[in-house]
Amino acid sequence: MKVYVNGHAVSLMEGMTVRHALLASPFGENWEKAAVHDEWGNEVGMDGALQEGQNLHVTFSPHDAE
Amino acid sequence: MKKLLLLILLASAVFCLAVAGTPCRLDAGEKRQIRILHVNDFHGFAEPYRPCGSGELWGGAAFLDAEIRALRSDPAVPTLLLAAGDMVQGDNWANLFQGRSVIELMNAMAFDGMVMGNHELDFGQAALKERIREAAFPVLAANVQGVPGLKPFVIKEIGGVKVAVIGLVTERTPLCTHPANAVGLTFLSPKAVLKTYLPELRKAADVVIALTHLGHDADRILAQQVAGVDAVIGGHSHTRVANPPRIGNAPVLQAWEHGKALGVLDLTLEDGRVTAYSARLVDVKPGGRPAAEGPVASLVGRYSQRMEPLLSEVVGRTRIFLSAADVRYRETNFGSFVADVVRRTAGAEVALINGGTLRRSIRKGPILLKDLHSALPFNNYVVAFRLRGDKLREALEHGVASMEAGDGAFPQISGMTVAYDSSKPPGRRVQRITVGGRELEPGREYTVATHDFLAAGGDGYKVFGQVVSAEDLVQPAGGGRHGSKLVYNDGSRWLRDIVADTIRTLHEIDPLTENRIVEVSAP
Repeated sequence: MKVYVNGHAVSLMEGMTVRHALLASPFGENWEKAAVHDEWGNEVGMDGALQEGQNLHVTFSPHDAE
Repeated sequence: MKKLLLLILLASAVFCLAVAGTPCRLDAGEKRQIRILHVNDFHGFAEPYRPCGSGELWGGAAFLDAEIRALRSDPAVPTLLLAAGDMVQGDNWANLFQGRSVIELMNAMAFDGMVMGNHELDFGQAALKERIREAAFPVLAANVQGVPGLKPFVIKEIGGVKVAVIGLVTERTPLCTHPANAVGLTFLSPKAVLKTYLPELRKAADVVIALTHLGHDADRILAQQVAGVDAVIGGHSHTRVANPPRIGNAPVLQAWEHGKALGVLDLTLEDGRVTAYSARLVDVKPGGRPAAEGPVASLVGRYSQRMEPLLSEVVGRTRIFLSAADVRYRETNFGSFVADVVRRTAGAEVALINGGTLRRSIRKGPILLKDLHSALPFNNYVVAFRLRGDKLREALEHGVASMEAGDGAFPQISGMTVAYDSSKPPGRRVQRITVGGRELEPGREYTVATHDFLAAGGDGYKVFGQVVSAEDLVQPAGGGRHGSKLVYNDGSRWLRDIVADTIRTLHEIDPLTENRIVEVSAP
Protein backbone atom coordinates (compact mmCIF):
# COMPACT_ATOMS: atom_id res chain seq x y z
CA MET A 1 0.00 0.00 0.00
CA LYS A 2 1.33 3.43 -0.90
CA VAL A 3 0.42 6.53 1.12
CA TYR A 4 1.81 10.05 1.19
CA VAL A 5 3.24 11.85 4.20
CA ASN A 6 3.60 15.59 3.52
CA GLY A 7 3.85 14.60 -0.13
CA HIS A 8 6.53 11.91 0.39
CA ALA A 9 5.41 8.53 -0.94
CA VAL A 10 5.88 5.65 1.53
CA SER A 11 5.07 1.99 0.97
CA LEU A 12 3.61 -0.08 3.77
CA MET A 13 2.50 -3.63 4.47
CA GLU A 14 -1.12 -4.55 4.91
CA GLY A 15 -2.31 -3.68 8.40
CA MET A 16 0.27 -0.98 8.99
CA THR A 17 -1.02 2.25 10.45
CA VAL A 18 -0.39 5.98 10.66
CA ARG A 19 2.49 5.29 13.07
CA HIS A 20 4.24 3.09 10.49
CA ALA A 21 3.67 5.66 7.75
CA LEU A 22 5.48 8.24 9.87
CA LEU A 23 8.32 5.81 10.68
CA ALA A 24 8.76 5.13 6.98
CA SER A 25 8.74 8.83 6.14
CA PRO A 26 11.47 11.45 6.56
CA PHE A 27 9.70 12.48 9.80
CA GLY A 28 10.16 9.09 11.49
CA GLU A 29 12.58 10.12 14.21
CA ASN A 30 10.11 12.32 16.04
CA TRP A 31 6.93 10.42 15.25
CA GLU A 32 5.78 10.42 18.88
CA LYS A 33 5.67 14.23 18.91
CA ALA A 34 3.80 14.61 15.66
CA ALA A 35 0.24 15.72 15.09
CA VAL A 36 -1.22 14.01 12.04
CA HIS A 37 -4.18 15.11 9.96
CA ASP A 38 -5.82 13.70 6.86
CA GLU A 39 -6.26 15.68 3.66
CA TRP A 40 -9.51 17.20 4.96
CA GLY A 41 -7.89 18.48 8.15
CA ASN A 42 -9.25 15.79 10.46
CA GLU A 43 -6.89 14.65 13.21
CA VAL A 44 -6.04 10.94 12.99
CA GLY A 45 -4.71 8.64 15.71
CA MET A 46 -1.37 6.84 15.39
CA ASP A 47 -3.14 3.46 15.25
CA GLY A 48 -5.45 4.62 12.49
CA ALA A 49 -5.79 2.33 9.49
CA LEU A 50 -4.70 3.63 6.12
CA GLN A 51 -6.13 3.50 2.64
CA GLU A 52 -4.27 3.20 -0.66
CA GLY A 53 -3.23 6.65 -1.85
CA GLN A 54 -4.13 8.39 1.41
CA ASN A 55 -2.52 11.76 2.13
CA LEU A 56 -1.30 12.52 5.65
CA HIS A 57 -0.08 15.88 6.89
CA VAL A 58 2.36 15.93 9.78
CA THR A 59 3.06 18.92 11.95
CA PHE A 60 5.23 19.45 15.00
CA SER A 61 4.67 22.08 17.63
CA PRO A 62 7.29 24.87 17.53
CA HIS A 63 8.69 23.63 20.85
CA ASP A 64 9.17 20.09 19.53
CA ALA A 65 10.75 21.29 16.33
CA GLU A 66 13.59 23.01 18.18
CA MET B 1 -20.52 -13.23 -8.65
CA LYS B 2 -22.04 -16.49 -7.40
CA LYS B 3 -21.34 -15.36 -3.84
CA LEU B 4 -23.11 -12.08 -4.47
CA LEU B 5 -26.16 -13.80 -6.01
CA LEU B 6 -26.28 -16.13 -3.06
CA LEU B 7 -26.08 -13.09 -0.83
CA ILE B 8 -29.03 -11.49 -2.60
CA LEU B 9 -31.15 -14.60 -1.96
CA LEU B 10 -29.91 -14.79 1.60
CA ALA B 11 -30.53 -11.10 2.13
CA SER B 12 -34.13 -11.48 0.99
CA ALA B 13 -34.71 -14.37 3.39
CA VAL B 14 -32.99 -12.64 6.32
CA PHE B 15 -34.85 -9.48 5.53
CA CYS B 16 -38.27 -11.14 5.55
CA LEU B 17 -37.51 -12.71 8.92
CA ALA B 18 -36.12 -9.47 10.37
CA VAL B 19 -39.00 -7.21 9.45
CA ALA B 20 -41.88 -9.68 9.75
CA GLY B 21 -44.47 -8.53 12.25
CA THR B 22 -42.87 -5.15 12.85
CA PRO B 23 -45.19 -2.17 13.28
CA CYS B 24 -45.99 0.39 10.58
CA ARG B 25 -43.52 3.10 9.60
CA LEU B 26 -43.74 6.75 10.48
CA ASP B 27 -46.89 8.38 9.10
CA ALA B 28 -46.70 11.22 6.60
CA GLY B 29 -46.92 14.66 8.16
CA GLU B 30 -45.38 13.61 11.44
CA LYS B 31 -42.23 15.36 12.64
CA ARG B 32 -39.84 13.54 14.93
CA GLN B 33 -36.32 13.91 16.26
CA ILE B 34 -33.98 11.08 17.09
CA ARG B 35 -30.40 10.97 18.27
CA ILE B 36 -27.62 8.54 17.34
CA LEU B 37 -24.61 8.37 19.66
CA HIS B 38 -21.53 6.64 18.36
CA VAL B 39 -18.01 5.56 19.31
CA ASN B 40 -15.39 3.60 17.38
CA ASP B 41 -11.96 2.02 17.84
CA PHE B 42 -12.32 1.93 21.62
CA HIS B 43 -9.66 -0.82 21.78
CA GLY B 44 -10.38 -1.55 25.42
CA PHE B 45 -9.23 1.83 26.77
CA ALA B 46 -11.50 1.70 29.81
CA GLU B 47 -9.30 3.87 32.02
CA PRO B 48 -8.43 7.50 31.23
CA TYR B 49 -4.91 7.87 29.82
CA ARG B 50 -2.46 10.50 28.59
CA PRO B 51 -2.02 10.16 24.82
CA CYS B 52 1.44 10.80 23.32
CA GLY B 53 2.17 14.51 23.31
CA SER B 54 -0.71 15.38 25.65
CA GLY B 55 -0.37 16.35 29.27
CA GLU B 56 -4.08 15.79 29.83
CA LEU B 57 -5.99 12.69 30.73
CA TRP B 58 -8.46 11.66 28.04
CA GLY B 59 -11.20 9.07 27.79
CA GLY B 60 -12.28 6.65 30.46
CA ALA B 61 -15.36 4.47 30.10
CA ALA B 62 -17.01 5.91 33.20
CA PHE B 63 -16.68 9.45 31.85
CA LEU B 64 -17.87 8.31 28.43
CA ASP B 65 -20.87 6.71 30.09
CA ALA B 66 -21.63 9.93 31.96
CA GLU B 67 -21.76 11.84 28.66
CA ILE B 68 -23.94 9.15 27.10
CA ARG B 69 -26.39 9.17 30.00
CA ALA B 70 -26.64 12.96 29.88
CA LEU B 71 -27.39 12.88 26.16
CA ARG B 72 -29.91 10.08 26.62
CA SER B 73 -31.73 11.81 29.45
CA ASP B 74 -34.17 13.82 27.31
CA PRO B 75 -37.24 11.59 26.86
CA ALA B 76 -38.34 13.74 23.91
CA VAL B 77 -35.26 12.66 21.94
CA PRO B 78 -35.11 8.87 21.64
CA THR B 79 -31.56 7.66 21.25
CA LEU B 80 -29.52 4.81 19.78
CA LEU B 81 -25.98 4.02 20.90
CA LEU B 82 -23.76 2.41 18.25
CA ALA B 83 -20.16 1.22 18.03
CA ALA B 84 -18.24 1.26 14.74
CA GLY B 85 -15.87 -1.61 15.44
CA ASP B 86 -12.50 -2.51 17.00
CA MET B 87 -13.88 -2.43 20.49
CA VAL B 88 -12.59 -5.59 22.19
CA GLN B 89 -8.83 -5.71 21.47
CA GLY B 90 -5.96 -3.37 22.27
CA ASP B 91 -5.34 -2.31 25.86
CA ASN B 92 -4.52 -4.87 28.57
CA TRP B 93 -7.91 -4.13 30.11
CA ALA B 94 -9.41 -5.88 27.09
CA ASN B 95 -6.67 -8.29 26.00
CA LEU B 96 -6.23 -10.08 29.32
CA PHE B 97 -9.89 -11.14 29.07
CA GLN B 98 -9.95 -11.68 25.30
CA GLY B 99 -12.42 -8.81 25.07
CA ARG B 100 -15.01 -10.20 27.51
CA SER B 101 -14.54 -7.16 29.76
CA VAL B 102 -15.42 -4.81 26.89
CA ILE B 103 -18.59 -6.68 25.96
CA GLU B 104 -19.69 -6.58 29.60
CA LEU B 105 -18.95 -2.86 29.62
CA MET B 106 -20.95 -2.31 26.44
CA ASN B 107 -23.84 -4.29 27.89
CA ALA B 108 -23.77 -2.08 31.00
CA MET B 109 -23.74 1.03 28.81
CA ALA B 110 -26.73 -0.36 26.87
CA PHE B 111 -25.26 -0.31 23.38
CA ASP B 112 -27.84 -0.97 20.67
CA GLY B 113 -25.45 -2.45 18.11
CA MET B 114 -21.93 -2.62 16.81
CA VAL B 115 -20.21 -3.54 13.59
CA MET B 116 -17.45 -6.13 13.75
CA GLY B 117 -14.04 -4.51 13.23
CA ASN B 118 -10.99 -6.30 11.82
CA HIS B 119 -9.44 -6.52 15.30
CA GLU B 120 -12.51 -8.31 16.65
CA LEU B 121 -10.96 -11.39 15.00
CA ASP B 122 -7.62 -11.07 16.78
CA PHE B 123 -8.41 -13.62 19.50
CA GLY B 124 -9.64 -16.13 16.92
CA GLN B 125 -13.03 -17.14 15.67
CA ALA B 126 -13.98 -19.15 18.77
CA ALA B 127 -13.43 -16.11 21.02
CA LEU B 128 -15.37 -13.87 18.62
CA LYS B 129 -18.26 -16.32 18.65
CA GLU B 130 -18.26 -16.18 22.46
CA ARG B 131 -18.17 -12.37 22.49
CA ILE B 132 -21.11 -12.26 20.07
CA ARG B 133 -23.01 -14.69 22.30
CA GLU B 134 -22.30 -12.55 25.39
CA ALA B 135 -23.35 -9.29 23.76
CA ALA B 136 -26.81 -8.03 24.68
CA PHE B 137 -26.82 -6.15 21.36
CA PRO B 138 -26.46 -7.37 17.77
CA VAL B 139 -22.99 -7.59 16.26
CA LEU B 140 -23.31 -6.69 12.59
CA ALA B 141 -21.42 -7.32 9.36
CA ALA B 142 -23.51 -7.77 6.23
CA ASN B 143 -20.47 -8.43 4.04
CA VAL B 144 -18.97 -11.21 6.15
CA GLN B 145 -20.01 -14.83 5.75
CA GLY B 146 -19.03 -17.67 8.07
CA VAL B 147 -19.21 -16.16 11.57
CA PRO B 148 -22.09 -17.71 13.53
CA GLY B 149 -24.24 -15.15 15.33
CA LEU B 150 -23.17 -12.24 13.18
CA LYS B 151 -26.16 -10.33 11.77
CA PRO B 152 -26.20 -8.29 8.56
CA PHE B 153 -28.41 -5.53 9.93
CA VAL B 154 -30.83 -4.63 12.66
CA ILE B 155 -33.99 -2.56 12.58
CA LYS B 156 -34.69 -0.73 15.83
CA GLU B 157 -37.76 1.29 16.59
CA ILE B 158 -37.20 4.33 18.78
CA GLY B 159 -39.94 6.84 19.52
CA GLY B 160 -41.99 5.50 16.64
CA VAL B 161 -39.13 5.86 14.17
CA LYS B 162 -37.77 2.74 12.53
CA VAL B 163 -33.99 2.86 12.14
CA ALA B 164 -32.15 0.28 10.06
CA VAL B 165 -28.46 -0.16 10.86
CA ILE B 166 -26.39 -2.23 8.43
CA GLY B 167 -22.85 -3.31 9.34
CA LEU B 168 -19.94 -3.28 6.85
CA VAL B 169 -16.33 -4.17 7.59
CA THR B 170 -13.19 -3.80 5.50
CA GLU B 171 -12.79 -6.66 3.05
CA ARG B 172 -9.01 -6.47 3.59
CA THR B 173 -9.43 -7.94 7.08
CA PRO B 174 -7.94 -11.36 6.14
CA LEU B 175 -4.73 -9.67 4.96
CA CYS B 176 -3.90 -8.06 8.30
CA THR B 177 -4.63 -10.81 10.79
CA HIS B 178 -3.22 -14.30 11.30
CA PRO B 179 -4.44 -16.48 8.41
CA ALA B 180 -5.99 -18.93 10.89
CA ASN B 181 -8.29 -16.18 12.20
CA ALA B 182 -9.94 -15.78 8.80
CA VAL B 183 -10.09 -19.41 7.68
CA GLY B 184 -13.53 -20.23 6.26
CA LEU B 185 -14.68 -16.62 6.26
CA THR B 186 -15.69 -14.69 3.17
CA PHE B 187 -15.42 -10.91 3.01
CA LEU B 188 -17.49 -9.36 0.23
CA SER B 189 -17.37 -5.88 -1.27
CA PRO B 190 -19.03 -3.45 1.19
CA LYS B 191 -20.31 -1.36 -1.70
CA ALA B 192 -21.93 -4.31 -3.52
CA VAL B 193 -23.47 -5.65 -0.33
CA LEU B 194 -24.87 -2.27 0.68
CA LYS B 195 -26.42 -1.88 -2.78
CA THR B 196 -28.00 -5.32 -2.39
CA TYR B 197 -29.60 -4.63 0.97
CA LEU B 198 -30.45 -0.95 0.59
CA PRO B 199 -33.71 -1.10 -1.40
CA GLU B 200 -35.37 -3.43 1.10
CA LEU B 201 -34.02 -1.52 4.11
CA ARG B 202 -35.39 1.71 2.62
CA LYS B 203 -38.82 0.13 2.29
CA ALA B 204 -38.84 -1.16 5.83
CA ALA B 205 -37.31 1.72 7.78
CA ASP B 206 -37.56 5.49 8.08
CA VAL B 207 -33.82 5.90 8.59
CA VAL B 208 -30.95 3.82 7.20
CA ILE B 209 -27.53 4.03 8.84
CA ALA B 210 -24.41 2.42 7.38
CA LEU B 211 -22.34 1.46 10.42
CA THR B 212 -18.92 0.77 8.97
CA HIS B 213 -15.40 -0.25 9.80
CA LEU B 214 -13.78 0.80 6.54
CA GLY B 215 -11.91 4.03 7.35
CA HIS B 216 -12.95 7.63 6.72
CA ASP B 217 -11.59 7.80 3.15
CA ALA B 218 -13.49 4.63 2.21
CA ASP B 219 -16.62 5.92 3.95
CA ARG B 220 -16.56 9.05 1.82
CA ILE B 221 -16.23 6.95 -1.32
CA LEU B 222 -19.04 4.66 -0.17
CA ALA B 223 -21.35 7.61 0.44
CA GLN B 224 -20.49 8.93 -3.01
CA GLN B 225 -21.05 5.64 -4.79
CA VAL B 226 -24.14 4.39 -2.98
CA ALA B 227 -26.92 6.93 -2.61
CA GLY B 228 -29.74 6.27 -0.19
CA VAL B 229 -28.30 5.98 3.30
CA ASP B 230 -29.06 8.72 5.80
CA ALA B 231 -25.66 8.61 7.48
CA VAL B 232 -22.37 6.74 7.34
CA ILE B 233 -20.99 6.20 10.83
CA GLY B 234 -17.50 4.80 10.60
CA GLY B 235 -14.37 3.59 12.31
CA HIS B 236 -10.98 1.99 11.44
CA SER B 237 -8.97 5.12 10.57
CA HIS B 238 -9.23 6.62 14.11
CA THR B 239 -10.35 9.89 12.53
CA ARG B 240 -11.60 12.81 14.61
CA VAL B 241 -14.27 14.08 12.22
CA ALA B 242 -15.14 17.34 13.94
CA ASN B 243 -16.85 18.84 10.87
CA PRO B 244 -18.49 15.96 9.06
CA PRO B 245 -18.80 16.27 5.30
CA ARG B 246 -22.16 15.81 3.62
CA ILE B 247 -21.69 13.52 0.65
CA GLY B 248 -24.81 12.97 -1.39
CA ASN B 249 -27.38 13.40 1.32
CA ALA B 250 -25.40 11.60 3.99
CA PRO B 251 -23.15 12.98 6.68
CA VAL B 252 -19.97 10.90 7.01
CA LEU B 253 -19.00 10.62 10.65
CA GLN B 254 -16.33 9.16 12.88
CA ALA B 255 -15.50 9.74 16.56
CA TRP B 256 -11.71 9.44 16.82
CA GLU B 257 -10.49 6.59 19.06
CA HIS B 258 -10.18 5.06 22.52
CA GLY B 259 -13.37 6.62 23.88
CA LYS B 260 -11.78 10.10 23.77
CA ALA B 261 -14.80 11.46 21.90
CA LEU B 262 -18.47 10.67 21.62
CA GLY B 263 -20.21 11.28 18.32
CA VAL B 264 -23.66 12.86 18.42
CA LEU B 265 -25.94 12.84 15.37
CA ASP B 266 -29.36 14.47 15.72
CA LEU B 267 -31.79 13.66 12.92
CA THR B 268 -35.06 15.44 12.20
CA LEU B 269 -37.70 13.49 10.30
CA GLU B 270 -40.67 14.92 8.48
CA ASP B 271 -43.12 13.02 6.31
CA GLY B 272 -41.25 9.85 7.02
CA ARG B 273 -37.81 10.94 5.87
CA VAL B 274 -34.78 12.73 7.24
CA THR B 275 -35.01 16.43 6.45
CA ALA B 276 -32.29 17.86 8.66
CA TYR B 277 -29.38 16.80 10.79
CA SER B 278 -26.74 18.20 13.06
CA ALA B 279 -23.60 16.40 14.15
CA ARG B 280 -20.92 17.09 16.69
CA LEU B 281 -18.23 15.44 18.79
CA VAL B 282 -18.18 15.63 22.57
CA ASP B 283 -14.69 15.42 24.08
CA VAL B 284 -14.44 12.82 26.82
CA LYS B 285 -11.95 13.55 29.59
CA PRO B 286 -11.95 13.67 33.35
CA GLY B 287 -10.89 17.34 33.31
CA GLY B 288 -10.34 17.48 37.02
CA ARG B 289 -13.76 16.04 37.79
CA PRO B 290 -13.97 13.57 40.64
CA ALA B 291 -13.83 9.90 39.74
CA ALA B 292 -17.10 8.86 38.12
CA GLU B 293 -19.38 6.59 40.08
CA GLY B 294 -22.02 4.09 39.08
CA PRO B 295 -22.25 0.62 37.55
CA VAL B 296 -19.86 1.36 34.67
CA ALA B 297 -17.18 2.79 36.98
CA SER B 298 -17.60 -0.23 39.26
CA LEU B 299 -17.26 -2.61 36.35
CA VAL B 300 -14.10 -0.87 35.12
CA GLY B 301 -12.64 -1.06 38.63
CA ARG B 302 -13.62 -4.69 39.03
CA TYR B 303 -11.84 -5.78 35.86
CA SER B 304 -8.84 -3.57 36.66
CA GLN B 305 -8.52 -5.44 39.96
CA ARG B 306 -8.74 -8.76 38.13
CA MET B 307 -5.81 -7.74 35.94
CA GLU B 308 -3.29 -7.88 38.78
CA PRO B 309 -3.69 -11.62 39.46
CA LEU B 310 -3.58 -12.33 35.73
CA LEU B 311 -0.43 -10.27 35.30
CA SER B 312 1.06 -12.11 38.28
CA GLU B 313 0.69 -15.45 36.50
CA VAL B 314 3.93 -17.42 36.53
CA VAL B 315 4.40 -18.25 32.87
CA GLY B 316 7.58 -20.26 33.49
CA ARG B 317 11.03 -20.08 35.06
CA THR B 318 14.44 -18.94 34.00
CA ARG B 319 17.47 -20.71 35.40
CA ILE B 320 19.61 -17.66 34.73
CA PHE B 321 19.35 -13.88 34.73
CA LEU B 322 17.78 -12.58 31.49
CA SER B 323 19.83 -9.53 30.67
CA ALA B 324 18.55 -6.47 28.90
CA ALA B 325 21.13 -4.20 30.54
CA ASP B 326 23.65 -4.22 27.65
CA VAL B 327 21.18 -4.87 24.92
CA ARG B 328 22.15 -1.65 23.13
CA TYR B 329 25.88 -2.55 23.07
CA ARG B 330 26.27 -6.30 22.71
CA GLU B 331 24.54 -9.63 22.35
CA THR B 332 22.59 -10.59 25.46
CA ASN B 333 20.93 -13.86 26.34
CA PHE B 334 17.51 -12.19 26.62
CA GLY B 335 17.91 -10.44 23.27
CA SER B 336 18.91 -13.70 21.61
CA PHE B 337 15.97 -15.53 23.19
CA VAL B 338 13.45 -12.98 21.92
CA ALA B 339 15.09 -12.95 18.48
CA ASP B 340 14.80 -16.76 18.43
CA VAL B 341 11.09 -16.45 19.21
CA VAL B 342 10.66 -13.97 16.37
CA ARG B 343 12.52 -16.22 13.89
CA ARG B 344 10.65 -19.39 14.84
CA THR B 345 7.27 -17.65 14.85
CA ALA B 346 7.79 -16.52 11.28
CA GLY B 347 9.55 -19.69 10.16
CA ALA B 348 12.37 -17.49 8.86
CA GLU B 349 16.05 -18.28 8.33
CA VAL B 350 17.22 -15.31 10.39
CA ALA B 351 15.78 -12.70 12.72
CA LEU B 352 16.94 -9.23 13.63
CA ILE B 353 15.33 -7.06 16.28
CA ASN B 354 16.62 -3.81 17.73
CA GLY B 355 18.02 -3.77 21.25
CA GLY B 356 15.53 -1.04 22.12
CA THR B 357 12.79 -3.66 21.93
CA LEU B 358 13.85 -4.90 25.38
CA ARG B 359 13.48 -2.46 28.24
CA ARG B 360 14.09 -4.47 31.38
CA SER B 361 15.98 -7.54 32.58
CA ILE B 362 14.29 -10.45 34.35
CA ARG B 363 15.83 -12.02 37.43
CA LYS B 364 16.58 -15.72 37.82
CA GLY B 365 13.55 -17.68 39.00
CA PRO B 366 9.85 -17.46 38.20
CA ILE B 367 8.87 -15.28 35.23
CA LEU B 368 5.63 -13.39 35.80
CA LEU B 369 3.50 -12.20 32.92
CA LYS B 370 3.96 -8.63 34.16
CA ASP B 371 7.76 -9.10 33.95
CA LEU B 372 7.31 -9.64 30.23
CA HIS B 373 5.02 -6.61 29.96
CA SER B 374 7.75 -4.49 31.57
CA ALA B 375 10.54 -6.04 29.53
CA LEU B 376 8.65 -5.83 26.21
CA PRO B 377 6.35 -2.82 26.68
CA PHE B 378 5.72 -2.04 23.02
CA ASN B 379 2.88 -3.41 20.97
CA ASN B 380 5.09 -4.92 18.29
CA TYR B 381 4.08 -7.76 16.01
CA VAL B 382 6.13 -10.18 13.93
CA VAL B 383 6.67 -9.73 10.22
CA ALA B 384 9.06 -11.46 7.82
CA PHE B 385 10.12 -10.88 4.24
CA ARG B 386 12.64 -11.98 1.67
CA LEU B 387 15.77 -9.85 1.64
CA ARG B 388 18.94 -10.15 -0.42
CA GLY B 389 22.14 -10.92 1.45
CA ASP B 390 23.73 -7.57 0.59
CA LYS B 391 20.69 -5.79 2.07
CA LEU B 392 20.87 -7.92 5.21
CA ARG B 393 24.50 -6.82 5.55
CA GLU B 394 23.35 -3.21 5.14
CA ALA B 395 20.86 -3.70 7.99
CA LEU B 396 23.56 -5.13 10.25
CA GLU B 397 25.94 -2.31 9.30
CA HIS B 398 23.25 0.12 10.39
CA GLY B 399 22.76 -1.79 13.63
CA VAL B 400 26.40 -1.40 14.68
CA ALA B 401 26.95 2.02 13.10
CA SER B 402 26.08 4.15 16.10
CA MET B 403 26.55 1.75 18.97
CA GLU B 404 28.79 4.25 20.79
CA ALA B 405 25.73 6.41 21.34
CA GLY B 406 23.92 3.51 22.99
CA ASP B 407 20.88 4.00 20.86
CA GLY B 408 18.23 1.34 20.42
CA ALA B 409 19.28 0.23 16.95
CA PHE B 410 21.96 -2.25 18.08
CA PRO B 411 20.83 -5.65 16.80
CA GLN B 412 19.86 -8.81 18.63
CA ILE B 413 19.88 -11.68 16.17
CA SER B 414 18.93 -15.28 15.53
CA GLY B 415 19.96 -17.80 12.87
CA MET B 416 23.12 -15.90 11.98
CA THR B 417 26.37 -14.56 13.37
CA VAL B 418 28.10 -11.27 12.78
CA ALA B 419 31.62 -10.10 13.51
CA TYR B 420 32.24 -6.36 13.49
CA ASP B 421 35.02 -3.92 14.17
CA SER B 422 33.93 -0.79 16.01
CA SER B 423 37.20 0.97 15.21
CA LYS B 424 36.16 1.16 11.56
CA PRO B 425 33.98 3.97 10.30
CA PRO B 426 30.19 3.45 10.37
CA GLY B 427 29.07 1.56 7.29
CA ARG B 428 32.31 -0.45 7.06
CA ARG B 429 32.29 -2.20 10.40
CA VAL B 430 30.78 -5.59 9.58
CA GLN B 431 33.59 -8.05 8.85
CA ARG B 432 31.83 -11.37 8.48
CA ILE B 433 28.29 -12.72 8.50
CA THR B 434 27.23 -16.35 8.56
CA VAL B 435 23.73 -17.73 8.15
CA GLY B 436 23.13 -21.28 9.34
CA GLY B 437 26.89 -21.75 9.62
CA ARG B 438 27.63 -20.64 6.03
CA GLU B 439 29.02 -17.39 4.72
CA LEU B 440 26.37 -14.87 3.73
CA GLU B 441 25.81 -14.79 -0.03
CA PRO B 442 25.24 -11.19 -1.15
CA GLY B 443 23.04 -12.12 -4.10
CA ARG B 444 20.91 -14.78 -2.39
CA GLU B 445 17.52 -14.03 -0.85
CA TYR B 446 17.03 -14.91 2.81
CA THR B 447 13.83 -14.94 4.82
CA VAL B 448 14.29 -12.32 7.51
CA ALA B 449 11.98 -11.95 10.49
CA THR B 450 11.69 -8.79 12.53
CA HIS B 451 8.85 -6.76 14.02
CA ASP B 452 6.63 -4.11 12.52
CA PHE B 453 8.55 -1.17 14.02
CA LEU B 454 11.76 -2.08 12.20
CA ALA B 455 9.91 -3.30 9.11
CA ALA B 456 8.53 0.21 8.69
CA GLY B 457 12.03 1.67 8.98
CA GLY B 458 12.02 2.47 12.69
CA ASP B 459 15.32 3.14 14.52
CA GLY B 460 16.81 4.04 11.16
CA TYR B 461 16.45 0.58 9.58
CA LYS B 462 15.62 2.18 6.25
CA VAL B 463 16.76 -0.92 4.38
CA PHE B 464 13.82 -2.81 5.87
CA GLY B 465 11.49 0.04 5.03
CA GLN B 466 12.77 -0.06 1.45
CA VAL B 467 11.98 -3.75 1.00
CA VAL B 468 8.35 -2.94 1.66
CA SER B 469 8.31 -0.80 -1.43
CA ALA B 470 9.36 -3.74 -3.61
CA GLU B 471 6.64 -3.92 -6.23
CA ASP B 472 5.67 -7.53 -5.65
CA LEU B 473 5.09 -6.77 -1.99
CA VAL B 474 2.76 -3.84 -2.41
CA GLN B 475 0.67 -5.38 -5.16
CA PRO B 476 -2.67 -6.20 -3.55
CA ALA B 477 -2.65 -9.63 -5.19
CA GLY B 478 0.50 -10.55 -3.36
CA GLY B 479 -0.21 -8.82 -0.06
CA GLY B 480 0.72 -11.04 2.81
CA ARG B 481 0.73 -14.23 0.81
CA HIS B 482 3.55 -16.61 0.05
CA GLY B 483 5.16 -15.93 -3.28
CA SER B 484 5.59 -12.24 -2.60
CA LYS B 485 8.43 -10.58 -0.70
CA LEU B 486 6.28 -10.63 2.41
CA VAL B 487 6.23 -14.08 3.97
CA TYR B 488 4.72 -13.40 7.41
CA ASN B 489 2.54 -10.58 8.73
CA ASP B 490 0.43 -11.22 11.82
CA GLY B 491 -0.81 -8.01 13.38
CA SER B 492 -3.17 -9.91 15.65
CA ARG B 493 -0.62 -11.00 18.27
CA TRP B 494 1.84 -8.88 20.18
CA LEU B 495 5.42 -10.12 20.41
CA ARG B 496 5.30 -10.18 24.23
CA ASP B 497 2.32 -12.55 24.13
CA ILE B 498 4.17 -14.87 21.75
CA VAL B 499 7.19 -14.79 24.10
CA ALA B 500 4.89 -15.60 27.04
CA ASP B 501 3.35 -18.52 25.16
CA THR B 502 6.81 -19.82 24.24
CA ILE B 503 7.90 -19.77 27.89
CA ARG B 504 4.63 -21.43 28.95
CA THR B 505 5.37 -24.24 26.50
CA LEU B 506 9.00 -24.63 27.53
CA HIS B 507 8.25 -24.28 31.29
CA GLU B 508 11.90 -23.45 31.97
CA ILE B 509 14.50 -21.54 29.96
CA ASP B 510 18.23 -20.91 30.26
CA PRO B 511 19.30 -18.96 27.18
CA LEU B 512 23.00 -18.28 26.82
CA THR B 513 25.02 -15.84 24.80
CA GLU B 514 26.51 -17.82 21.92
CA ASN B 515 28.93 -15.43 20.24
CA ARG B 516 26.32 -14.54 17.67
CA ILE B 517 27.61 -10.96 17.73
CA VAL B 518 31.35 -10.63 18.17
CA GLU B 519 33.52 -7.55 18.22
CA VAL B 520 36.85 -8.14 16.50
CA SER B 521 39.94 -5.99 16.29
CA ALA B 522 41.18 -4.79 12.96
CA PRO B 523 44.10 -6.96 11.70
